[in-house]
Amino acid sequence: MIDAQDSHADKVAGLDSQALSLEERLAHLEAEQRKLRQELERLYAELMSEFEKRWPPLKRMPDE
Amino acid sequence: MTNQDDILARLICLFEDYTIRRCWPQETEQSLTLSIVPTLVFDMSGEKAQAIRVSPGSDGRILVELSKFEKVYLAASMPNGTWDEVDYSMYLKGRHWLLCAVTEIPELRESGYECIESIWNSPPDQFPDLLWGLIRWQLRRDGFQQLWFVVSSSDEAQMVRSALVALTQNKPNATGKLQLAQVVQSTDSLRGFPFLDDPHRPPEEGEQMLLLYAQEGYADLFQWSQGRFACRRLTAKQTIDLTLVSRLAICSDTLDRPPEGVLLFHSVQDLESQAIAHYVMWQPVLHQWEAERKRRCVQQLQRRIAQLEDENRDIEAAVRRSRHVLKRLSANPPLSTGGDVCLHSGSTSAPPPP
Repeated sequence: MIDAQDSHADKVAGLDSQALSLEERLAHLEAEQRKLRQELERLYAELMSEFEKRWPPLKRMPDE
Repeated sequence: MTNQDDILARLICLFEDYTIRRCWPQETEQSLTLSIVPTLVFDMSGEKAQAIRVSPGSDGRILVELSKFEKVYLAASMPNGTWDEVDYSMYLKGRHWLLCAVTEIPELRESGYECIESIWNSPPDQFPDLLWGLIRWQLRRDGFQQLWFVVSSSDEAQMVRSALVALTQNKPNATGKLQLAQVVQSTDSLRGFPFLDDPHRPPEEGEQMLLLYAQEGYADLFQWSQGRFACRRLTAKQTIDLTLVSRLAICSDTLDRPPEGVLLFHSVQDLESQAIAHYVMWQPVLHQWEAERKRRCVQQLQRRIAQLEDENRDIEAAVRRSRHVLKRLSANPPLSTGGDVCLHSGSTSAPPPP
């Protein structure tokens, strides 16, 4: 019984440890994704600005 | 009828006050509980058939014990017409009881546990024998003065009454006890009393399980919560609300092969009154579920991580493309257009997002 309990405790501890490590990795990836999205938004805004400079919005001529 | 209701009410009171193995009478019920004679209740009305012994102790306490059925004299269709005694449990399938036994009878054995007979479905001429199988060992071992059969319908009550009449004629040694037997239909209170359960059924959130260490004088109360069970140790004198306990570790001195996933413990000595020598432990099954849940949790995390990694790779690619375009734009500064660009129709358009 003690062996079985130890084995179970080891198994659960192993899974807990694995879950903890995965949760850390998940948190890291989520943080990384947040940074990447912010960077992408910044670049997109910069690109938009460049495009505005080069190709300003077209004005519609009133229909004759 | 009034007398029967009165005694049943006392029994229900005992069930509701059941504290692990003993029940101490309330002060207001002193006169009632002291009048209880040694009683054996065969409860066939719930999800498990169960025998409950109620007897006044020498110290004035009322002893209430659950006891697993131990032996049955099977009316099995043996090729040579003989009967055999086997250990068995009873399970409810639909509305019918099944006797399931660990049997070595080759004609009956297909698996370790063999469902042998549906007791309520049995032919009328076999039912008395099945009922006798249910009670004979209990009667032999204890000098109970009062027998009760708790059933769930009037049809079942009639079957038991008829069987008792037949047994009274065929079993002269037990005639006295059988003639005093009472058959009652169960009430909600009795139905609500937790008996045995399928050990392989996963627990539900908040479900409580009670594990008795009767010899050592304590019990553990397990509550399944968020994929794990919290354990609280009880002493013999603590009262718990058994209506909230859905599983009870059971003791048996005849169970020689535990169900899969359940460990069986042989105690050093019998319990104080009658031989109940084994403890079936639920922890291995619960441990299995706990480990399984953690494995699923790990798998979910792994899937989520793989998804995030994919998404991040896509975003990184978009960032690289955007930087590349910006770099090329920086290398080619904008020319002055010298005025507005006009369009006669259509709308302005922005560059597509990266």
